Amino acid sequence: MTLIPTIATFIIALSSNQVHLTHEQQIAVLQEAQVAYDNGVSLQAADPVASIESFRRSADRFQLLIHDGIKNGKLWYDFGNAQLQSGEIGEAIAAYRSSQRYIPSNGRLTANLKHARTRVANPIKSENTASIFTRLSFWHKALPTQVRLFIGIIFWISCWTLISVRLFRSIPGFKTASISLGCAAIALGLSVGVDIVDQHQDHGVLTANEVIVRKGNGVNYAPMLKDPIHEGIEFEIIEQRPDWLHIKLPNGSTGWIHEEDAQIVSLKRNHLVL
Amino acid sequence: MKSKTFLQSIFLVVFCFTTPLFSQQVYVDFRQSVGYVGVPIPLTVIFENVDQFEEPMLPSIDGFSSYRRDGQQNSSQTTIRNGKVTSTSTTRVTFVLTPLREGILTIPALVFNANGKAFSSSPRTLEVVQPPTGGALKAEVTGTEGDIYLGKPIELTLRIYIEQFSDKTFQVQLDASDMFGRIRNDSEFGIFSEAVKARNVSAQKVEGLNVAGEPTIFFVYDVTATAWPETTGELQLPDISILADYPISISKQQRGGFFGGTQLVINQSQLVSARATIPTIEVLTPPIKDRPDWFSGAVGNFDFRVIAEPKRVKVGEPITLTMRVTDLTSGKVTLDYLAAPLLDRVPALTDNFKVPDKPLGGIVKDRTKTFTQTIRPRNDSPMEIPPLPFASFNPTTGKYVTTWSKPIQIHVDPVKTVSTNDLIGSNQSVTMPTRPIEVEGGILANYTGESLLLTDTISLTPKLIAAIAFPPVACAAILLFFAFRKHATLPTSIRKSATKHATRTLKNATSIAHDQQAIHISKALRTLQTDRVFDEQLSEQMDALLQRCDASQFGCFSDTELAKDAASLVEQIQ
Repeated sequence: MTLIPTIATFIIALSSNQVHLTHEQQIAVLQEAQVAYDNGVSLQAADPVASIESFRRSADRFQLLIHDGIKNGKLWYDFGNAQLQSGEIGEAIAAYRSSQRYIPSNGRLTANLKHARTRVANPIKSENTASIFTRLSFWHKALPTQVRLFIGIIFWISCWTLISVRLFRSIPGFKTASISLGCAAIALGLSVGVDIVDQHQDHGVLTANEVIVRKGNGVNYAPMLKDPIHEGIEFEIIEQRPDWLHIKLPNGSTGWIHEEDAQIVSLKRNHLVL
Repeated sequence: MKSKTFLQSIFLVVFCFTTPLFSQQVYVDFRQSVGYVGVPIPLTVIFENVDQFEEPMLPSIDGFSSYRRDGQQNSSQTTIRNGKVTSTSTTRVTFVLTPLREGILTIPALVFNANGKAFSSSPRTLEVVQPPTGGALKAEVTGTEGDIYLGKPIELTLRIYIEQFSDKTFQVQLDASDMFGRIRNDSEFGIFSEAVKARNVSAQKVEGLNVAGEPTIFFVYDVTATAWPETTGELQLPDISILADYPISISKQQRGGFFGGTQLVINQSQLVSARATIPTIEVLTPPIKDRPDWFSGAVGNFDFRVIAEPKRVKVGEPITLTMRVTDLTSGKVTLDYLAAPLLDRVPALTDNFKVPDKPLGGIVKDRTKTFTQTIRPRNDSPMEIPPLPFASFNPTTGKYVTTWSKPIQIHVDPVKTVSTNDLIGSNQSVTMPTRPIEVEGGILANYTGESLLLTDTISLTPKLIAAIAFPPVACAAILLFFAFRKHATLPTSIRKSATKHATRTLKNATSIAHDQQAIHISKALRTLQTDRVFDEQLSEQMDALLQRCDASQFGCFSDTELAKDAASLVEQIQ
């Protein structure tokens, strides 16, 4: 019975780009996605094939909601879970990376992304070692963007309040406190700014099983790497040309891959994510 | 003159409207009147200047088998002649008719729909006779002898015999190349097509007897191809049908050009054909008897080597095995179908390592195929990766051969926490920890609820901007307030303010109540005298005015001109 409304909503959604699901339809699709996911979990041991089918069905429903324009980090997270459970490691990592744009410091998201990365065959490790600056700015990744922004605003207001009070009367320690609060507020503001800039940096994830990285944007170019690279490997996008992507791998290697072999994690709209 | 222009206009209009109508046409290109049993004949449906047409279908035609060739040919042509632009677009769909029996066969009128109209062709008749062979052309296919197993190639050779043509009148004999050139392009070479197209053909001359029993010369052309069976059972390959225009007579023909002269040309030839049937070849599967558990279908003789990285890991961490399988046999080889060794069926490995059971893809380079597999130690007991087997079936000996890799020394460090996900499928029991320990890895639960439908994004709202901008603005406002206030309490500022106030009082003295005028004016004048130094004339005027104020204030004199004179004095001061 639940299939009928979903098919109908699929048809509505696909038949025209301008038609969106109603809120009631969104709720129905979300419920179907969650039921299919729970069903997949319950079948994992008894019937793995049916379980994967159920996870795929769940992923389809979540994707429908995402295509409908809902920008929600937890929805992307659930979509990633369904993809991971159905064995689509590349798509799962891409979904988690999309989720990171909205909820970068979410604990569940971080754990599941880490788990998905362990399932990548022959992962390419980053050769970059953590700089002192990176070590000192641990809080940047430890605190969610919203929290950093909130604390930053509190610090900012406190700093200026202290400065204002100090205009009336000089209290020992106020000068040091106001300067400290001001510096902390500016650091937090910069941290939020870095997040915003990072959100607009395009990343990508390989979704094909084995991908040949080439020296140029065409199949006639020689391979750049001796061996193909595998699904789930993440990369930065240097340049985009028709059907081809110029990419930079975590170890610093660059090359060209066919666009069909990867999924781009991109935030097209220019807005602040809180 | 007018009538001529009018007629030209009518002609132009008629031409413009009628040209598209006349230029749209659908017709059938089928020119042959004589055909041969088993020899295919193309029938082409041509749509000219047609925007839309229904997919053409041929009805079942008595005496013919038919099929449609894949795809369609589209072409367009634009010509400009005497300033007139003409565009023609053509779509060709080709069917292949093969006569099945002798006799006069009829192709009925065929109907095709285009641009909403039906176009009909006229019926055609075809005289079908048995193809003349004359014994001049013969073909046969031979294949690899012995048992063929799945995964091994089959070498096939197509051998074509053509009797050499010789003309006693002109004392001419065609050579091997000329005779091969008589083979028609519409011949079906099946699996040998690519080799024939690439002219990868060897020719030799042999003596033999023709159908009349006379000694003659034959050219024998050998074409080889390799078939890679994908399934067991009888090898299914298409039959081969060769057509050739065998010369009957030649004649001298005047050569054109500057030098002129004559040349010999074939002026008459006959169609000859030959069929070659692929021999029955049975593709076998290796026997079940003595088949190792880890056999993955490899047939032949292979070398198997394994390397592992990293060699020092913690329990549960991945070790990547790179397995290289090299074909040691000679001749052609394809490793595309070679499957990876089934490591998950090797107890010596699975006892201590978690081994995925998913099929592996591999990378083929020359005669080597490389597979990569990730395994994870279940505990810290293994000191090495045991020898790994790669089983193959040797078709020569009819036995299975297992090649073992060398053991690889590793070091597995224990860890306090072990991922249950990494241990799924483990036969070993896990010791329960004495206190709750958080397990790493695995996938965490989904989020639920309608909050998933809310949008996480907001814009840089005015509230946010206000929250950032308000504190410094408020502080600046307070700062400015104090600065003004501080400035106002300075003596110079006070004096300046008093002078300004006094000047204003004097200027507006006429508006002050009459009984109060003297008081205010005298007060203002004294303020001015205190704050500023005036020249002698003005000082005298001010003194005089002060006296009049005193007189008016204390002497009860009514001085109506007092306010006016005060205003006049202010003007002089300014």
